[in-house]
Amino acid sequence: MKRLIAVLGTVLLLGALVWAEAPTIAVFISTLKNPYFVTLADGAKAAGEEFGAEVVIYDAQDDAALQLSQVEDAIAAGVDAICINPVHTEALIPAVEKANEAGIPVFSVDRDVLGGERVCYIGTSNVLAAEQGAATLIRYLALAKRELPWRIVILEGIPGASAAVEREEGFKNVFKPLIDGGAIEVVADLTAYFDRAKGYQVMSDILATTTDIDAVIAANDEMILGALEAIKAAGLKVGFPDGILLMGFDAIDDAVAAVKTGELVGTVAQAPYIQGYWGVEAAYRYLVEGWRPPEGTAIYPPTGALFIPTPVAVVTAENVDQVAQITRTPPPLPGTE
Amino acid sequence: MDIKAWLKRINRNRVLFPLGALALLVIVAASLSPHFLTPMNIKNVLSQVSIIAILAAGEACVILTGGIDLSVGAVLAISGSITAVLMKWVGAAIPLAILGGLGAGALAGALNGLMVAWVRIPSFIATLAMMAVARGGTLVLTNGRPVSGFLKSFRAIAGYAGPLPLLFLITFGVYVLWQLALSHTRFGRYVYAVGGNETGTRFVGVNVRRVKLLVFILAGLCAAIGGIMLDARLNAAYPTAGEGYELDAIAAAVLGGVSLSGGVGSLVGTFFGALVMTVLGNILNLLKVGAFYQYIAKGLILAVAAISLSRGIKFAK
Repeated sequence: MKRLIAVLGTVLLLGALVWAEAPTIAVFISTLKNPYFVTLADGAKAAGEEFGAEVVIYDAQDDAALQLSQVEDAIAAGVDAICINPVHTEALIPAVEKANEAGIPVFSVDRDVLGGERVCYIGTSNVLAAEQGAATLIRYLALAKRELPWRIVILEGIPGASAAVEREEGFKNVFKPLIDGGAIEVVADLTAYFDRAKGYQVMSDILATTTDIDAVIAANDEMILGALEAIKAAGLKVGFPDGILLMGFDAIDDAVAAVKTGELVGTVAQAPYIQGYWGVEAAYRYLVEGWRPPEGTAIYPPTGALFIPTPVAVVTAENVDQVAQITRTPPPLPGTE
Repeated sequence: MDIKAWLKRINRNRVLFPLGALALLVIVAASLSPHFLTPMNIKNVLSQVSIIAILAAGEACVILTGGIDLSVGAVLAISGSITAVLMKWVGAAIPLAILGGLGAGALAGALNGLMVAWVRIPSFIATLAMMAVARGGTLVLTNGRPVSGFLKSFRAIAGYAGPLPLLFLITFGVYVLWQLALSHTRFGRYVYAVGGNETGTRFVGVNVRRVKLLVFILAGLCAAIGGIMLDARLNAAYPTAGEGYELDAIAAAVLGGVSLSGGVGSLVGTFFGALVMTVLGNILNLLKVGAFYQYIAKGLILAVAAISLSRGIKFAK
């Protein structure tokens, strides 16, 4: 036992010497049971290796109380910066406040905390992502040389849910000028509650009124996959160039597979890897180089944090094989060029 | 007096080994991390242990009677949510909201007790049912969303009294009361008697049903106190709070020397058991052990602790 303690002590002493040079960045993940967050943690670790920071990953197992304890312990252990992917936007405010009291900078990743001081919030902009998805759909409609006006169906998410509201805004930003210009006619704009069965049901209701539809865009993949089944059940053709064009959101496995078979023209992929990477990169540069969110960084309205949006990729037949690589190649962090 | 008899006497309440395990862990932790014995970290550990320890207090009493309560995590959630909803949505005064939460916990415990003692459903199943109902009730009540942003005066529960966290003082107070009740009242003796030999206890005229009912009510009350403390600590009540905490509470009691077959063990030991679990998590975090390795390290150390405890039983019996 003595020898074990001696060995451990030596290792720790050496570790302490290394710390003196490399900052320690604690990364708190809501749950590593979800592959999305495992990818986020991978990105954080990769940034740690790239920049020579010591990155420690904590798994809160979706338990806000546990995450608060972990943050307290990390503060006591003297970490230099904190990246937090909170279990809850509200229940982790005390954790951020404790870090603030200890003078440790906090960066929120993927999900923001609704209080305390955060240097910035690094996450997906649902508005920008939805705009990209909508623009890609328009590009494919133009490529297919469809007759104007294009008749489209929009399936919205749970009314009031922040992701649904923001994605709807992104769609509208792209479609509104085209609707006003007479290039697009909205056949139906209905909610299917982010749900596959509801997507099927709503789509079949719409098809009962008309089958003259050029495209369907949905605020998530579950709904577009439900709609896809409804369209197929109605005996209509899907896919580029002469079927109904379908655009999803989230790039879940089923949807990516449907892009491969050509049933969907595309789906929008978030980049959790880049979120984790940028979180650690921002923390490292903040500590070592004095990086701050660049002038003119927008505010994330729901939480009031300075917002660094991470890039998204629209998965289409053209890039479906490279998507994994695209969403794992971090572009330069804003304010570092 | 030979050493064996001496050990046996000291270990009558089976606190020697949990205390030993805790002392060893503290020594190792302090030698591994310079941050362990800092005032800040000690405050952290005392705050962190409070909630798991208070659940374990109730759980230990149930286990002493030979039963088990799987519902404490879910009862924590529903009591915490009721207090939060009363404060935020109903606008009730803080003491009233707290009473509401405590009442809900006691009611859930009473229903557990009725199911076990009168309907004679095995406690494992009865409390599993309560766990599902209480968790579902929490989701219905809060619509699946967190309720947050309480008054400062409520949040003060998670504050400090001098250098000590108030949460810890509450838990400590509950432990002192419970331990006194167990070792100095007739009810306490009945708890051990029921766990040791239920049939025999009934034959000497003890109302075994009432003892069991009371023990489950106490466990429900403890869970409710835990739920209200968690509200104050997080400044939020959320519907998935306390998921899996029943296992931590059971582990704390067993690590503290409470026998799963009932009749043997103490609250003092349980408290040390809860501290062992908390310090273990704390030191792994302080040493910045990665998430995946933490699971393995915790499992191994718990197993080692359990081995030393099973050696302890030899002295106790």
